[in-house]
Amino acid sequence: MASKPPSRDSAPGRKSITAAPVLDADAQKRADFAKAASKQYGRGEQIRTKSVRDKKLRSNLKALEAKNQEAAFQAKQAEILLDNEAGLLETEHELEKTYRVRQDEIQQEVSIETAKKRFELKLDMGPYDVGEYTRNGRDLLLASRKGHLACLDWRDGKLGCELQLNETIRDAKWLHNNQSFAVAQKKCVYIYARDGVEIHQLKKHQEATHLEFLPYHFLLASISTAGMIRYTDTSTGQMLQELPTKLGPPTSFCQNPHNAVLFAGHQKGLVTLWSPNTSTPLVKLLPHHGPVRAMAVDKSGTYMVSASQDRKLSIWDIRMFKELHSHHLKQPAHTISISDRNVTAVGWGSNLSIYRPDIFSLTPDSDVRVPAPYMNWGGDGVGISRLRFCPFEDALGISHAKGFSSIIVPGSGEPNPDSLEPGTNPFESSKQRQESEVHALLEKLQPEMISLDPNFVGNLDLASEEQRKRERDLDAKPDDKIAKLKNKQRGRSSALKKYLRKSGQKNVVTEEKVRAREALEAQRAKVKDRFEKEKEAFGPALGRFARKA
Amino acid sequence: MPPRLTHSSLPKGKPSKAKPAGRAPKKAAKRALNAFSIASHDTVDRSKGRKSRLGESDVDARRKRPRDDEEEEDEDEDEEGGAVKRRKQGRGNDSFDEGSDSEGNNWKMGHVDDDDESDIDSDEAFGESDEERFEGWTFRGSQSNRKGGKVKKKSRDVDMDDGDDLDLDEGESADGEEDDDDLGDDAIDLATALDQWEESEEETKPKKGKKAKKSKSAFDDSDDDEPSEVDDLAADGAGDFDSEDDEDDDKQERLKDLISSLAAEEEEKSAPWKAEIHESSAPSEFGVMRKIDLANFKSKIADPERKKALKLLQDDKPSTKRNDLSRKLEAPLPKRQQDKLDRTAANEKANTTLDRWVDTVKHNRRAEHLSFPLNQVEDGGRMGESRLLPTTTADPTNELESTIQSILQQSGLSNGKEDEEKFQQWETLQTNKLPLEEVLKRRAALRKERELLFREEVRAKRVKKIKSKSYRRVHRRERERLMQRERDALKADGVEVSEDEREYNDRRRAEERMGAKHRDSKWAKGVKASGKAAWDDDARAGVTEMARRNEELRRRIEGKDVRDEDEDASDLSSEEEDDDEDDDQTLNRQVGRLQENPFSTDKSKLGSMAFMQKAENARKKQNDEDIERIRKELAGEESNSEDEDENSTKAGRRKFGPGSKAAAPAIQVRGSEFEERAASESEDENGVPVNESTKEISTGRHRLKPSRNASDNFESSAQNPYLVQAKKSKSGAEPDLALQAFDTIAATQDEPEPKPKSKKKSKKSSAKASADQEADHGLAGNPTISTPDDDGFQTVTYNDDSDDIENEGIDLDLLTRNHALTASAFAGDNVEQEFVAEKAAVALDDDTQTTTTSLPGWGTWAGSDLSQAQKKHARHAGYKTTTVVEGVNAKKRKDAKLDRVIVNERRQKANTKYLAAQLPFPFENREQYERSLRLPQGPEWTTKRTHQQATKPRVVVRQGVVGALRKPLV
Repeated sequence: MASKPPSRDSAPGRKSITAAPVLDADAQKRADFAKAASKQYGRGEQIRTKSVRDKKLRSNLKALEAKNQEAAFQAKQAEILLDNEAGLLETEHELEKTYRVRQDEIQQEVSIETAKKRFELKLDMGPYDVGEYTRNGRDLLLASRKGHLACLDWRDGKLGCELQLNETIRDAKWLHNNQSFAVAQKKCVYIYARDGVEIHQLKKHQEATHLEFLPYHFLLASISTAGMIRYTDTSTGQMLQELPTKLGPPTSFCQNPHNAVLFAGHQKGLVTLWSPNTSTPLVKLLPHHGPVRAMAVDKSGTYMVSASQDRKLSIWDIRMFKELHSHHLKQPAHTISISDRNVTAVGWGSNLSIYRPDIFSLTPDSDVRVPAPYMNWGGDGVGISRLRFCPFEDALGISHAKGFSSIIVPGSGEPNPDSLEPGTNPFESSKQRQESEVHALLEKLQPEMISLDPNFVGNLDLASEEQRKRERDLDAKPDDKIAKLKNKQRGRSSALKKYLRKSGQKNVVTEEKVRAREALEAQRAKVKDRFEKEKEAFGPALGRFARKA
Repeated sequence: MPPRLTHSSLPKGKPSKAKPAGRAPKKAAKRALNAFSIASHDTVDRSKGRKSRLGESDVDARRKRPRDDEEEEDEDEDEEGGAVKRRKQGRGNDSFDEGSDSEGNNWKMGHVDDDDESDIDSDEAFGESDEERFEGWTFRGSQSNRKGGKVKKKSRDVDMDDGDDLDLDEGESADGEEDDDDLGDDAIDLATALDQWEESEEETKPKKGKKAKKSKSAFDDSDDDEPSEVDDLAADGAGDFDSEDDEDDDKQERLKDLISSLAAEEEEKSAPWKAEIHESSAPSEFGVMRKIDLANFKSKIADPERKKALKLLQDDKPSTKRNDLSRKLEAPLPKRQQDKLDRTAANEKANTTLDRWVDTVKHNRRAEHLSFPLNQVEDGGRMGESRLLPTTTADPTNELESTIQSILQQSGLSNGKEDEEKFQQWETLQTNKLPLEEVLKRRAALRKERELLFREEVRAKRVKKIKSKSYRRVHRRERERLMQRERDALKADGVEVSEDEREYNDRRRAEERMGAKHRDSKWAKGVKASGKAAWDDDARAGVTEMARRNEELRRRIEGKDVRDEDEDASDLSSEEEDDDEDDDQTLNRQVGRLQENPFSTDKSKLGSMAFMQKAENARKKQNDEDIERIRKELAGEESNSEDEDENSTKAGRRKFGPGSKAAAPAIQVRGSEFEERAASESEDENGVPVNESTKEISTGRHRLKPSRNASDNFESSAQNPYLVQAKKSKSGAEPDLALQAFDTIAATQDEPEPKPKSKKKSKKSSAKASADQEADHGLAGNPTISTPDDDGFQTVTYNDDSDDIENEGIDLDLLTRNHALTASAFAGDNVEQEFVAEKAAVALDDDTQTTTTSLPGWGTWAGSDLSQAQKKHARHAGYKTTTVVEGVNAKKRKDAKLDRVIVNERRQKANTKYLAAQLPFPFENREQYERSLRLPQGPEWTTKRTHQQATKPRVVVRQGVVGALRKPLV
């Protein structure tokens, strides 16, 4: 306790008594804060710098650790900028249940703007299987099985396009922004612009039943009725990979937004994890015994919720690959959606149950057999076909047999959008959209970077030399330089000439050089020959216009 | 310059003192040659005349040098060496325009000469001392020669020489120490000059001191100094010069006299002075030595005191044979060595100055970011750039500020600093006006504050002294040990510990038990923290047990008063406790107490109001009921009442199983599901599953947890009742399953007499036999489904109390049908088994593969006449090669311990593109390297500040002048 100079201390002595412990508590608080920061934002454990022998390395690592800590500290401090708080419906006493709260009750209580998020679109084009939001939650894509297709800015009520395709629509997905979307139709996958113009027909994506779009890799993936997973790079238009699952027609399909691994659900209760880099699945799970009807993975890539025809709802930790919990529903669920804040909606029959985020804290040992839902909806005989939480909004989109309903689910949306992330700014202007599109393209991740651990890039390769040797293709033909060089032919800097010029001493004769010379001669002869022919063809008067090279 | 010419011939005129000329001509010549070559090397720009002069002088010196001089003492050598140096320097100065370069070069020439000489034949012919002496001579000769040359060459040079001389004289006179002159080499006969005019060195000495000082202060001072001397020269040069010329002849005469008259001692005396002079002399000063004012010299030496001192000095030294020759000059260090010494000295000096910068340089080198121009603290130039100072405290620093200030002043808004001062003054004046008492009071208050503060400090110190818990514990133990030892000693002596003491100890222990210590035990804290008590029976039992014990202890110790308090305080807790209390007695007592003391009995105004009383009554009633119920339960009777109360529902649920006491685990699972569904069914339109009730069950009873081992897949599949049923009914291959299948079939096809629901109780007895069996397989409580009636409806009966089912009001019919249907739907796919088989196959595939290939017949004999044994051997023998392809051991697979998971262990080749093939250099292990990559730099993942810090360039150059640092920053 440093004593203050008496001249400054005008307060009576009593005050200074209390001042001492306050200082301590402050320090304690700060230490706690730093600890919490490094736990939350520290990105793994610190390394022990003391045991490092090399002095320079040690000091460097120390500086690095200090930097990391500082970064974590600042990140924690920056939380103050997240000024919107998340929360859920809360009851006043135990007898009150949140699942008894009805939508109209909520709508009465909330602000006008929020109340507007609850709406109903009554469409009579048959079951609407698709209701998808863009990543910033501004636009909505609706598609009915019978071929009705519409995209709209749902908050402004502006219609982008409305089409009748006169063909079965199995699935539809927005691409990287609200300017285009892919539709899996009866035979192929098509890409439409926002105004309804068909831009592409992806003929190779035959009979796709489900679509997924990986926004950071610009990959459109589809799984076909035959169980073939196909990847197309939408930035280049190239077909990337075709992976046969060999497990029959798929029953569900979803992506892990954390690491861009695709999850395919199969008839026999299997769930397989796919990346475009392997022909075999990365992982095979068996959460169910019947067809896996629906799956969803949370934003952090930690949990998967799946439902099957045997009415089981299973919650898995997909980092550990362990089942956390499972229970039976009254009816088999066929659509699941997990919101940004881990609120989970499960649609079964014409009902819909929404669970709190704490279902993910269940363990096999916990006593809760069946978690109580947070909210309920439906039950009026209209079959629900797809649920999607609207990003950054407390709204849940339900596409059902009679159209589309948006309901308010308090606490489901992420209250603090990250406007730096391309494509996720809900207040984006068109300029910003264009800008972020370019940025996203420049920062596009390569498909080879897809792996179960998305942080693997730059890590040390732990394979033994033997293994690497085995992997190296020893039988591969050495690539022929000269053959490649033949392609560029014109002018002084034709590839062959350049090669001969640059390949060093003139008096050294190597096989490659000889071949290069021969190739050059042949080229010249060919040119000359062509010239002669041309001259002859032009005739004596026009012969001089024949081109020499 | 006639005199100079004559000087050069002087040595020849004095053969007695000079050496015979022909003594070592060869060597001399050699040296001369050497010197010449070196000189020509060193001074390319030198004129020819000068060179020749030097050569001549060398020759002369050789001639003059005596042979016997070798036996000179070292000391003398040193001194004289210094002298020689001095003289040489002087000459150097003479020959050139003043300037450090020219001086150095000239001096070097002669010097190098000597150096070479000594190198060549120091051992054979000459001692160093000899050489030095010769050098001395040489100088004189050479100087005369040179002077002649000069005369021939340029008159200006001569003037310069003269000027030099004059100047030096001047300097001496200015010193005021002695008026005698320096040795004018040219003016004197060399021998005499050597002998006599050591004193001249004396005079130069102080000058030299000065010089030294100057050189200390700055390295390159000499340049600056000389011009001033030249100026001095110019001032009174002429007169001196003239007089010299006139008196030249006379001088010679007088010199001779002097030489004869002066004792050798005197020369000796002066020697040490010389040495000093020469060592530290700067070349520019040599001119001093040239001029001699004989009279002055004499008078000086005549000074009695000085003589004495000199004599004393001289006595110390061993006498030499030849006094004149004893004035030997030590050869100056070779130029190269001298330079080396100089350099080292200079280097040291420079290093000390540079060392001050090391920290700064290191700091800057290690700094993560540098921004130029570096802000130097002492600059202070850019005032107001870093922070704004209030105009009241600071003077305006620039024009703008001062203008603003003046404007402000003019407008009467502010007077800047003056204002503040005025205020202060006013304040002090005010205090002066205060009455004495007031001042005293204030002072007292201040003192008091200080006193308090001081005490606080003292207290803080004391607090600091108070050590930690463990510290205390250790010390207490030590104390106790000591006590124990003492007691033992007492015991040994026959003294018993008194009764009182024991009691005191007991009391203390009891107090401790009673205190918060055991309540704050680790376990209790853990329970509290984890909230385990809410659901874990054991934990809760433990907690209540603890509380009870606590209670007992307190009661035992403190008596009845406490109990009364407790009664008031803890009726709620006792209510909680009663569930698990095993001690019926205590429980009953508590219940009784509860009844006696209803919820609240306060007679306050609020309490007496009607509605409050009503509420209280209601509450009391409820409590009474509760108490009654509890009592009943305790008495062993089961409450059949159908409350909505959770407790009662739970009680009802208990009887769900066939035997209400023993509940088989499997049915538990199932039961809960049913219940859940039942409850949800009872929910209005949404069919919400209620988990509270199930929770109750789980807490109320022991429940078997589904096992999740990889080994017992079948068990886990058994958890799913539908599947189990299905499997059994279909496959029936496994014996266990077959048995179960039988049960299920029995259960599902139990179709003797369709009975109405109300008669389930009688049904129960009939189904008892099968129920027993079912209980064995964990399938107890399976519903019995009747055959469909006319409308196609089936009746489902449970081996349960009918009350329960009816109470629930569930359409179990539908539920079970659902179960059965789903079970049958997925009956055929032995999904689990297939999966296990696949996993095993994959594990085998990925495991280490060993392949053996053999070349039959290789390395064995062949032919027709082989014995049977040989043939047999040949058949089996052969060249065998084994190739082992390393794989992943089945036990080390990632999914080895995971149930229902197959993880692909193959390497993702595409990913290797983004992996580091080997550990980058400075890192020692993988963790360090990978950690170094963990912090992203992009703005999306970090705060803006972190991002900017991470991407800031190392060196930032801002507008401004990048200058040298003026002083170390660190």
